[in-house]
Amino acid sequence: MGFIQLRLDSVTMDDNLACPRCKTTKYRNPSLKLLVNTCGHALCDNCYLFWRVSGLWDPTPSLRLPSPTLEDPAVEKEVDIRRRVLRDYSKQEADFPSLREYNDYLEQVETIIFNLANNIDIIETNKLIEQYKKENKEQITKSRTRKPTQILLLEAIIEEENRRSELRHMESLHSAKEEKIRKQKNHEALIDDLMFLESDAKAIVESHKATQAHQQVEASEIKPLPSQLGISSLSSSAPQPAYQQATTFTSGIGFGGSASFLPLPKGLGEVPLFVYKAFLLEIGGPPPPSLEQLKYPSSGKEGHLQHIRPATEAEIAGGYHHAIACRRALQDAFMDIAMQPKLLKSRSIQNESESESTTKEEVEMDTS
Amino acid sequence: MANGTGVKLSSDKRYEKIDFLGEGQFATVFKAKDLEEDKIVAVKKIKVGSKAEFSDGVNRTALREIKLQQELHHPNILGLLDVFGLRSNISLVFDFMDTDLEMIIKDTKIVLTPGNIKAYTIMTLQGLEYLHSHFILHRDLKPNNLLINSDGVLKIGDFGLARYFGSPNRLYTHQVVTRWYRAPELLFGARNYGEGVDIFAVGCIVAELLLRGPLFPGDSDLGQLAKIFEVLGTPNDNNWTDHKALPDYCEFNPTNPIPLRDIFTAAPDDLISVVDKLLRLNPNERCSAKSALQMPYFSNKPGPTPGHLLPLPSNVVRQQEEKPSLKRKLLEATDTSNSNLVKKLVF
Amino acid sequence: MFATSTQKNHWIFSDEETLIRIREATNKAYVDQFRPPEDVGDFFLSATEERTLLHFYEYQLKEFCVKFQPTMNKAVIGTAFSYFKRFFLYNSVMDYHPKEILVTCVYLACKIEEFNVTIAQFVANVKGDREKAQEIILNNELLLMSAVKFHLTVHNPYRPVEGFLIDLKTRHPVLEAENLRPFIDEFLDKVLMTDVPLIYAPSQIALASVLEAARKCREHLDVYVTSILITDEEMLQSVVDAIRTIRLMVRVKNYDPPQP
Repeated sequence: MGFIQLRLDSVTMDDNLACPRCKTTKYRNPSLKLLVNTCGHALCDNCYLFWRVSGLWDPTPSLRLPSPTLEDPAVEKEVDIRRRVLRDYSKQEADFPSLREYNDYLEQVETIIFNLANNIDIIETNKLIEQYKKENKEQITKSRTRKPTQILLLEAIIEEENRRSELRHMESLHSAKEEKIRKQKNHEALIDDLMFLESDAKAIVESHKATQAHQQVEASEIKPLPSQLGISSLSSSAPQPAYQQATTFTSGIGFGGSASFLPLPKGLGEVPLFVYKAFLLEIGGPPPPSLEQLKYPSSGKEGHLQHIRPATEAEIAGGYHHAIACRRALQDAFMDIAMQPKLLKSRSIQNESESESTTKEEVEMDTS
Repeated sequence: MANGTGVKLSSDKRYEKIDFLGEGQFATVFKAKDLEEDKIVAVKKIKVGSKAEFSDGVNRTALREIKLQQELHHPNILGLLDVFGLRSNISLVFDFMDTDLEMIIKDTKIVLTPGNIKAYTIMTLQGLEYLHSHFILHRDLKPNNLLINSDGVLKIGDFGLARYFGSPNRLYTHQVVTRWYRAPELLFGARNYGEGVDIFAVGCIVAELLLRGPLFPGDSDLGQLAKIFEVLGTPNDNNWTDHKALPDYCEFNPTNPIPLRDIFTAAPDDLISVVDKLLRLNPNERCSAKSALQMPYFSNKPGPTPGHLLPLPSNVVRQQEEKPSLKRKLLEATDTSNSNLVKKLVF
Repeated sequence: MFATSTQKNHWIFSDEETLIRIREATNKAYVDQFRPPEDVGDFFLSATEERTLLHFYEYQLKEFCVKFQPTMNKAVIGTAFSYFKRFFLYNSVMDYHPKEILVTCVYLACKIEEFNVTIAQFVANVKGDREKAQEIILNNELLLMSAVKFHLTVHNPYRPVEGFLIDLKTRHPVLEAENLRPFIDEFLDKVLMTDVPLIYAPSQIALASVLEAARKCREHLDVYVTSILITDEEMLQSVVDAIRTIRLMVRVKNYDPPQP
C-alpha cells in the first residue's frame, strides 16, 4: 500500500487536523506528519508504521507516490489523476484541424478528470479511456518518447548561457592580452624616450602617465568581439562603411526581440553518443570458463560446480553463488600460467649497482 | 644509495601543502602540490596511534585502502599516486578531486540535464565494472564517495570498506554501506553476498540524481526496509527465492510495487529500464555493471555530457587558481551501526 | 589479480642470477657506507653468508607460523614469507635483525589477509619478553611497509591450487585429485624456502606443485597439461619451461636448517 507523505506546514495548517485513528492533532504533536492515500484518507506516520508492522487493518488499495507539494488531499488526488490521464491524452493543438476541435478535446479531457476525481461514473469513464487508448495507441507511444517541451526549453537556455559565458570569457581573455601588450609597449616606449629624448626625465614620465590614462579610457569603450551572427561591428571612430548593417534575416524575420525568438535546442545532435567498450583482461593463459558456462555447462553433465562447496539457500538469497568462487579459483589458476620471467625486462636490471660483480657463485649450494 | 629502495626518506619535501581540506576519525586531508610532477594532489595523513594502550599499530582501514588501491588503475577509480611514511605517520597521496556528487546534487543552482545524469552514471558503472572484474566489492557507494574533478571526471573513492569477494569460506559483515544505499539482502543480514550490493547502491544514486533527494531515506534498519518495500513491493517466494532464509529476515505486510514510471515521471523509458534492473530486490536478478552499460539507455540519445561541460558547484573553478580555505563540513548520513567505520572525509 | 598486480610489476625477477646480483649490490652498498680498510677480512658478512643466515631465519619464520595459535591460514604464511624475502632483497641483515623483521612480517600479513588478531593475541605466541616484542613490532611496521614500497597485496599459489583441483576433477576425473593434497602442501612448503615466488607466477607454482604431487603418486598428468589444459603450442612451451625450472629449484634446494 502506498501512502503519499504530506508535510504539514506550521503556518497554514489547521491545528485541529487529526489522524483519524489515534486522534493526535497538530496541536498535541507539532511535528505530526500525515500520510495521504489516493483515496483521500490520511494516517499519521506512527499509525502508518503501526499498521505496516502489525497488519491489523487494511486501508484502501491503489498506490501512488509522486512528489508531495500540495496540502489538500483532494487536490493531491486530482493532480495525480490529471497527470495520469494527460499521459494518455497527450494531443497538442497542432494535432487538430481546427481550434474548435482542439477545445472540444480539452473539454472531454477535463470531464474525464472531474468524473474520476469525484467518483462519478467511474466505470463508464474508464471504458472511455480504454477505448481512446486503443484508438490512439500509436500516437500515445510516440508522444511518450518525445521530450516534454519544458525540458527542451531548459536545455536550450542552458546551452545559450554556456555559449554566452564562453564568449564573455574569450572576450575578457582577449582584452587582458591586449592590455598586457599595450602596457609592455608603453613601458618600452618610456625607456626609449628616457634614453634618447633630451627633455627632463620627470616630464617624460608625466607625459607617459597621461597617455596611459587616456588609453585606458579608450579601452573601456572598445566594442565587443564580432557577434555570433557574423556581422563585424564597427569602431566608433571608423569611417562609414560601404555596406549597410543588416537588420533582418534573409527570410524577413527581424533581429532582436528575444521574447519572440527561441534559440533552437542544440544539445541533442552535437554530443557524441556512448559506445560500450568491454574491459579487456590479458589472461596470459587458457581462458577460464565464464559464469554462464559454469552454471550451464555445455556437455550436459554437471561441470566444475559440483566440485566446490555449494552455496546455501541463505547465501544464494544474499547474492553469493558458488559459481563466483569457482570462477575466481579457475581464473587465478590459469592467469599468467604462460608467463616468461625473462621477458619482464625492466625488472631484471632494476636497482642494480653500476659496477656489475662478475663473481659467479654456485646458486643452489649454500655452504652450510 | 646505489640501489635505492631501502627505507624511504621523508617524501614530504616533494609535496608542498596548500590548504587544509578536512579531518576525519583516522586521517587529516590536505590539498598539496606535487613539486615533481607539477600537479595538485590530495594528501591524506593517517594518524598512526602512539604507543597508547589499545594501539594495534597501523590502522587496518588505512591498510585496506593502500592494499587495494595500489593494485587498481582506472580513470574512474580514484588513483593512489604515492604512499610514504614519516615517523609514525603514513601519508597517502591521491588525485585531487574538487567536489563530489553529493555537493552537485545538493547545489540547487545546478541543473542536472539528462545528458549529465547519463554521464555520471556511465562513469560510475565503468569504474564498478573494473572493480568487480578484479573481484573487489566497494561496499560503501554513495554520492559522497563519487568524487569529481574540475575536468568533470568522476572517480570512485574511499576504499576503507572495500574487500575481495568470491571466497567460499569467508563470511563478511552485513553492517556495510551507508543505510540509505544499503541493499535489502544486507538489511536482512546476509553474511555472504556479491556485486549486487554495489549495484543496488548505484540504483539508489541514479534515483537520487533524478529526484534530487535520496530515494530511500530510512532512519533505522527496519524503516529502511519499509521504505524500500513501499516502492519495490515486498519480496515473495517468486521474485526472491529463499529470501526468508536470510539471518535477519522479518516479515512485512505485503505491498505491491509502484511502477517506477510513476515516481520518475520525467525519466525516459530506457532509463526506467536501467533503474529497474539496478534495483531488483533479488540480488541475482540485478544486472552486472557490465551488462548495465550495454543497455540501450546508454547508447541512445542524448549523448552523455562531455566532462568539461559538466556542471560544477559555484565554489569550484575550472582553472588552477587557489581558492580561499575550503573548510568542508563532515557529513555522516545516518549510519551509526559500525563503530569501526572510518569517519567520512570530504576531499 | 596477478596479471595487473604490483607483485608482477615490481617483485618478479628474471631469474636467480638477477637476484644474486641484487643481493650482492645490497651487500656492497651496506659495506661501502663504512669505507672499510682493504683487509676487512671476516668483519662483514658476504652476500653468501647473508643468504645462509636468512635461510636460517626463514626456517624460524616457518616454525613460528606453524605453531601459531589460533591456527594461521596459508595465505598469511605465504604473504609473510613474501614480505620477508622482499625486505631483505634491498636491505642487509647486518642492518636489520631478521628476528625482528620476521615477526613484523607475520603481524602485517595477518592484518592484510584479514586474519584478525590483536597485538596482544599475537605476542602471546612469542617466546620471551612479550612487551618488548610488541614494541618491536609496532616500531617496525612502518619500516617494513616502506621497504616493500607499500605493495601490500601478495598473490599466493593456494587459490590457484584449488582451481586446478576443481579442473582436474571435472576434466580429468581418472585421477583421484584429493590424494594429491598432502604432496601439494609439502611441495608448496618447500617453495616458500626458495626464491621461486620472486620469479614465477602463483599459477605456475601451483601447477608445478600439482604435477610434482602426481609424480609422487605415480600418476601421469602430462595428458592433462598438453591436451586438456593448454591447447596452444607456444603457450605450452612457456608453461613447460616454467614448471621444469620450478621443480628443479625446489629439488636442489638444501632444506636442512643451517646450524647457527
